[in-house]
Amino acid sequence: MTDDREHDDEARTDPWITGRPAGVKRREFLKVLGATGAATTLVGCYSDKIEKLIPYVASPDNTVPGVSTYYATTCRECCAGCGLLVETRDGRAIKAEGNPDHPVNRGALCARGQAGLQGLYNPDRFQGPMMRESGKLVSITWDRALQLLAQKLGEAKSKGQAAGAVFINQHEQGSFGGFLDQWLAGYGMPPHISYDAEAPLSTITANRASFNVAWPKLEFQAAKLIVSFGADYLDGWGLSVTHQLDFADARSKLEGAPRVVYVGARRSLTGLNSDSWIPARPGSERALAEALLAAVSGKGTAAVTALADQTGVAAPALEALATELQASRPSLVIAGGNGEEATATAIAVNDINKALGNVGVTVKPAEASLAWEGTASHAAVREAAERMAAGKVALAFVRGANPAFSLPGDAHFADAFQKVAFKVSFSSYPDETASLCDLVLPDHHALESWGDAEPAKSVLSLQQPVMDPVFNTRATGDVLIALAKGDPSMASRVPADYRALIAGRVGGNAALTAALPKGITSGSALAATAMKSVQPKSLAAGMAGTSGEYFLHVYFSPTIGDGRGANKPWLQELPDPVNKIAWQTVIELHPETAKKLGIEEGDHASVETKQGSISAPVYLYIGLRPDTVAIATGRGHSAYGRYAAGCGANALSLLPVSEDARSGAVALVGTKATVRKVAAHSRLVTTEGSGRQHGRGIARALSATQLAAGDTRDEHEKFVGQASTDFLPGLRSPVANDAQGGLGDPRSKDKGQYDPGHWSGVAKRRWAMTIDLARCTGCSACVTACYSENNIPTVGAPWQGPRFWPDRTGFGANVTRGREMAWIRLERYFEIDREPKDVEFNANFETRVIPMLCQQCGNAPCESVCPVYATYHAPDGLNVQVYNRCVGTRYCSNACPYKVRYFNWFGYGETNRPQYAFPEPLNWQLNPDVTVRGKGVMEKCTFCVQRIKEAENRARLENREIEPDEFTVACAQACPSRAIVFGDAADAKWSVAKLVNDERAYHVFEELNTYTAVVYLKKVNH
Amino acid sequence: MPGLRKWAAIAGIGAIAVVATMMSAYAGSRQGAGSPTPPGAQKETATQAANREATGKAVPGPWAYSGASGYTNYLGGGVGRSPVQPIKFPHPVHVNTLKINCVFCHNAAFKSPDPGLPAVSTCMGCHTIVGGDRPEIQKLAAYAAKKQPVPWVRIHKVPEYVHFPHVRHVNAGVTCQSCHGQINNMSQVFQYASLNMGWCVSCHVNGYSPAEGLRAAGYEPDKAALEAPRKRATYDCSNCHY
Repeated sequence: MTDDREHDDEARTDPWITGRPAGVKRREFLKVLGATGAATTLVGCYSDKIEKLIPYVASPDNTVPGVSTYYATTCRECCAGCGLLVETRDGRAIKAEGNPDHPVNRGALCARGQAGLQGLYNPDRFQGPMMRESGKLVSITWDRALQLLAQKLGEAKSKGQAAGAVFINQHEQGSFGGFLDQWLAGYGMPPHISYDAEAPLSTITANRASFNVAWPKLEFQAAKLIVSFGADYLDGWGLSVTHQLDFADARSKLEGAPRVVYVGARRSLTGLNSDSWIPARPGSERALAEALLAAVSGKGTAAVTALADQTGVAAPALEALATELQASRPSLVIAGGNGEEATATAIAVNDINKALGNVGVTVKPAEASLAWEGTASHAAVREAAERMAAGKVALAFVRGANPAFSLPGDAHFADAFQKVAFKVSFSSYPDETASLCDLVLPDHHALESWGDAEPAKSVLSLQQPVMDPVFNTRATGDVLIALAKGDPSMASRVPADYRALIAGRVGGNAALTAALPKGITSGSALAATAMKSVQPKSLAAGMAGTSGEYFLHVYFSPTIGDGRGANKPWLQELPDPVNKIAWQTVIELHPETAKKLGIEEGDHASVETKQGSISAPVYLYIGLRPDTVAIATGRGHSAYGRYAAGCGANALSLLPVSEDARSGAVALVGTKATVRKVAAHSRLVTTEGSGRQHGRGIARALSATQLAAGDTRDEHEKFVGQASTDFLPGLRSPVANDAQGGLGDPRSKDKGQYDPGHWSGVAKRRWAMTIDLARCTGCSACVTACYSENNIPTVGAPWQGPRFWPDRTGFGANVTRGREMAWIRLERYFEIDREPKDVEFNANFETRVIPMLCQQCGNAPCESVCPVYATYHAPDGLNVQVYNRCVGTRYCSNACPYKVRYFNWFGYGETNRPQYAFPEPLNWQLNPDVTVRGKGVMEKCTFCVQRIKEAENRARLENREIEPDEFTVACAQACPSRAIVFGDAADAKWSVAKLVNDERAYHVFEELNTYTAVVYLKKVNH
Repeated sequence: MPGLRKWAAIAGIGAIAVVATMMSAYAGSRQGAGSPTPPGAQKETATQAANREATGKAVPGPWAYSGASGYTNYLGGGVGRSPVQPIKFPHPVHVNTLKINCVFCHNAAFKSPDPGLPAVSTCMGCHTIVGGDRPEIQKLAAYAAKKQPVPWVRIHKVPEYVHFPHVRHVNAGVTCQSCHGQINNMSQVFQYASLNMGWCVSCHVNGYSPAEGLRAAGYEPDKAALEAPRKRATYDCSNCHY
């Protein structure tokens, strides 16, 4: 990944460099340049820009201008119900952080949760109510909109159409569902459909059957062995952040940590974090789970052995799993997966847990999560679509959900939906479903609304507005209340407003006010009306009856999910943790398969089923069965705003309507498909330079046995001054040795501020970081945290490239040229001895992930090459980049061995440029403490220097020193694995000071004597 | 490129630079001409007069150019810049006559990087009762009635890549007047200091003299202030640039 794309690419293709007359020598060129520079300096800059100072009309209470206020609320990006602390500055939300007091996420937050801000400030949001007039949506007033809807509701009631109405709501925890059902009942309409395309319905159904709860607590720390049947608990499946926190805690036990096994056709991020992989053929999981159940119930392993053919996995590997399950107790077996028999598989897995005595130890039904209470099956939405198609629905409502995009293509939701006489959307965004509606009543964003969630029994997580609405939207709860007030039969039964309803749940206004600062209180949400169950529908001959040579494996994108993240540029630009692709849909094939089909990476292939076909570039992935083709969901929108529409292809359009017989969940895996080469080729929008380390020792690991034996250091000759032993960060680092004398006088012996005895004491600190690779899973939440904190522009939109390069436009064009700006990135390496693009199938490979950011070298190669002193070493150990000194020579980026410096090729931060990365109102999110960089400036990780300064200011204001672990940097704060620790390595009281001396500590490229301040702790393999 | 042509190029570029400088200077003078000039003040601009009144010495007007930082002229003026404000707010009356402390209105200066501007409601706290018959206060009342903020024109501004925390300076005892000049004597506020980096660093390196700070504020320093050592500050780039 540390390649030179940006430099050599530029030299080859830039007409200014290549088209230069051959006669000019560099020295002469510089002389002319020098004279020009001197002349233009005289001219100086001039601008007559007039700025205004706008005061408040009335000062808000308890806020100080320029100082952040934090509001506790609940995340609504998925239905896990994590707690947020939203940082607001002068009335605008600028960052979403995890609430440390919240039981679900304990202060951590995933990338999708953080990107909620870009939903709030999305430039493509509906700015007010809309109505369809002669085929187009036009703006209307709220009064008119409400009047129209009241009229339609009245008509439906009087014509007796109300009983056939459909309300599809995005599944969310809390009282809204119950309130909505009461409202619907008031009009004689049936209860709503609580739809979540990503809900793990089969697991929920199985858990209900086995334990009578939807989601027992999974105690990863107590297990000695974790086996996942396609449960991607690190990819956003289930209670994403909770599971990841627990998983990382379990793995950080090092020697006593559980071994992890993954069963599935594709090695997802969860699979890559597992110690071994059983690549069972799609459709064979149920048989395998049942055979393992027989084995652990004392019926012998014969049934397991017999499955070698059906699963496509060698018998010894299966037998080893059976033996290990019996030997390692307690264990934790988890079933996920989206096959047509997923519920049956999950029930068998639950029985394995019962047989092994895991229930109550690693699987705790008593501490169940309520996140999926009331979730409708996918079958219910499909059945509603069928009623619509038959013309039986006169009135339909959609809120939050986007079934026109997220249902299988064969459900033909959009066609059916269009047959509804009057369609109302409460969506905030112009998504595929909202675009078909007759009336749009845009809802507030979650960060603008009141609400509640009940993540566990009697625990109420409150949701409150963190700022005034950005646009002329209205909370759906309040819209429904306003409508009911206009109806004499309902007026007396509704609360004053939706906030009053929430206050009622916690015991009144005073109790609500008291509970809001913490965000968590006791109480229960209003329960929704139980839905009539719907008979799932499956293919007559099952998946096996479909035709094609390959199994199609559709999986939810860990970054943009079922597609709801696609309008947020942070998530579009966040490379998929597994395949490192951004802004693009790729078809994943195993290199062996690709060879057989004559396909090279980047060549286009078409994947065809009976339902349709999509064509996209091919990515060669070694973690995939050769008889399987994998595609992520989420892209391929035809609407949903500028960042989503036209980007990629929608894999769901390939799927038949095939639902799990018990849960009604859409089967995403197992359909057969035909794969063909197509005569086209694209550059992959990827940040993967090379898939392996080439012996560079970037991401290191050791085995649990080595760790137990104390054999933790790498084998090489010991020498004096070795970075790994002699110059760990802290005062021992030679940071000040080459520091300039006082005030830049080279003859002076005075080291000025670099002298540890300097009155200010700045040189007594050494800011440093440790990253524990035994904890890191590669989830990439840190990347989005960094984008959010540091105003990093996304560069992948088509209009952000050069204006004169027609073949370089399109989504991700800048990323294909290595222009992404992620100050922290996740590198992912396969530990194999050949290029991962040319190998035969082998399930046994190890994967290592390593976050790579500026290493804040004590002896930095970038500093000595900067001709303008724009990058230099600060006395407290920071490698500082001074934007206003930078002239953009890019020498530093060339010199950096870690390739962590990023160049502003275009004016991403300048409002008047087409490449501007923060179109209004996305720019409202910008952190006012961090400079927005202009064109031609180099930038990189600053160790969140603005947070250091803020802490210093606060400490000084309170007349004290900074306390140990008082603050941390954005990546460490968000990390759901708690892998990153930041602090002062020179002060033993900080946690990081202990960790830099850990036996697993190492520096990347320490042979270069860069004396990095970022210390990695080796991964531990089991 | 043959040697002769190379040097010819330098002369050419030099010529371009001279032309550009002249054009820039012309633009600067146009900017000066755009400033408010009360009748009868041809020789001395209003700004310069205000400066002289306030400081007792002639301070260069909008033509001043420090040369150290291009952004000194960031707002088209630099030292002495004195735009007309939407309401003729008299600092002298409020500070000198009524003895209102600076931080009564700029109430965040000692606890935040931003000093804070008084909300319209803060002004109206007194002016609902006081001076309702005066035209300038009627303007204020009109803003308050429409629930609109007063669009003050910004004078003191450091560039976006500089972070200046008021909180650290105010709590270190730096008088407001050290940087902003005697605003208490300015009938129309103007930019007193260049706010360029050399000006910042001179204090950070040489130290801030409490006695000079008091003199700048118009007080005679007492014995303690005279004997107090100069307050120093660190001058690392990353103090302000990030």
